[in-house]
Amino acid sequence: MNDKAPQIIKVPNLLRAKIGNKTGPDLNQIVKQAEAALDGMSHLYEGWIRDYLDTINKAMSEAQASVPPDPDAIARIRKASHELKGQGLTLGYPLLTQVGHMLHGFIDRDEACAARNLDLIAAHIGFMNLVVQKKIRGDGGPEEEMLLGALGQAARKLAKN
Amino acid sequence: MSSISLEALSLLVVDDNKHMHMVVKAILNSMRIKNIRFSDNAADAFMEMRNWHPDIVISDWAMEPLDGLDFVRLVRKGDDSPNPYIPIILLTGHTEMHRVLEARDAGVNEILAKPISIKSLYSRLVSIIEQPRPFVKSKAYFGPCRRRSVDPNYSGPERRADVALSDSAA
Repeated sequence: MNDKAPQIIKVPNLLRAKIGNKTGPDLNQIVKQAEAALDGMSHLYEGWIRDYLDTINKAMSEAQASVPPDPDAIARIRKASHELKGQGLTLGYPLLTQVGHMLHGFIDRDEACAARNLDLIAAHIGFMNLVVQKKIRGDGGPEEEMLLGALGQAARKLAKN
Repeated sequence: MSSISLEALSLLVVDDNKHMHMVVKAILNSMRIKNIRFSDNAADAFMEMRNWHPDIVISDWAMEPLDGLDFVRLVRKGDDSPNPYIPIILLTGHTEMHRVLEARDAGVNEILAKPISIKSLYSRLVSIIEQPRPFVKSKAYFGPCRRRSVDPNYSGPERRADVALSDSAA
C-alpha cells in the first residue's frame, strides 16, 4: 500500500439511524405547505425588495460621485444584485432574478471594466427600479424582454473588448 | 406518496442575510424540521457547531468576512473543527461550472442553487441521508467522495486502485 494513496473513510450513517423508518408528509404536500408559508410572508417582501434597491441606488450614487468610482460602492452593488438574483423569484419578482443575475455577472466578470462602464450598471439598476415601480411580478411583456436583451447584448459586447 | 420523515433532524443555517433565514425556515418547517438554528457568519457557526452539534449545515456562499467556502474548508480541515464529517449543503447564486467545481473541491456534500427550489432542498437532504458518500482523505483533498456514481460500463484504468480503507471514529 502506497503511503500517499488516498484514504477512503466509511462514515457511519448516524442520520439514517436517527430518523428511523417514520414516514413524513409527501413531497407535494411539503411543497404546498412551503408555498403557503412563503405566501404568508408576502406582506414583508415589498420592504425587503425596497431595502435591496435602496442599497443599490445609494451605492450607485456613491460610485457616480467619484472618479474612478469607489470600488467599495461597486462591490455593494454586486452583492445586492447577487441577493436579488437569489431572492427575486421567491419574493415574487422573477424579472429581478434575471436582471440581478445579469448585473452581478457583468460586475463579477471584470470589476474594472464594470467600473469604467457605470452607464451600463445604471441601465440595469434603472430596469430594476422600473420592475418594482410598475410591480411587474411575472416575466414581463415584449418591452421588458427587449430591454433585457439589450442589456445582455451590451454586457457581452463590452466583455469581448 | 409519503416520504421519509425529516423531523428528527437538527439543522444549522449559516447566512448573513436575515431574509434568507426566514425563507429557509419556512421551507424547512414545511418538512416538519423545527430544530433549526441560524448564524450570521462563519465564526458564529463554528461556535454553534461546537456547542450544539447540528446534524446538517446549510451555508450560503456569499458571506463576509469569511465566505461559505472558507467556512467549509475550516470545518473539513481545521485543526479545531467540531465535526469534519458533518454534511454541508452550500446555497449559492453562483451556478457557473468553475464555481460548482470549486465548491465541490472545498468539500461540500451538496450544492443548491438560488432561488431555492423546495423540491431541490428536500432532495438534497434525502440524498445526504439515503446516499451518503464515503470521505476521501488525500494530500490535496478532504471531504465527501467527489464521485457521485459508479459507471458500470467504465473500462478505463482504476485511478484509485491503491487506497486505504478505514472506518471513521465519528
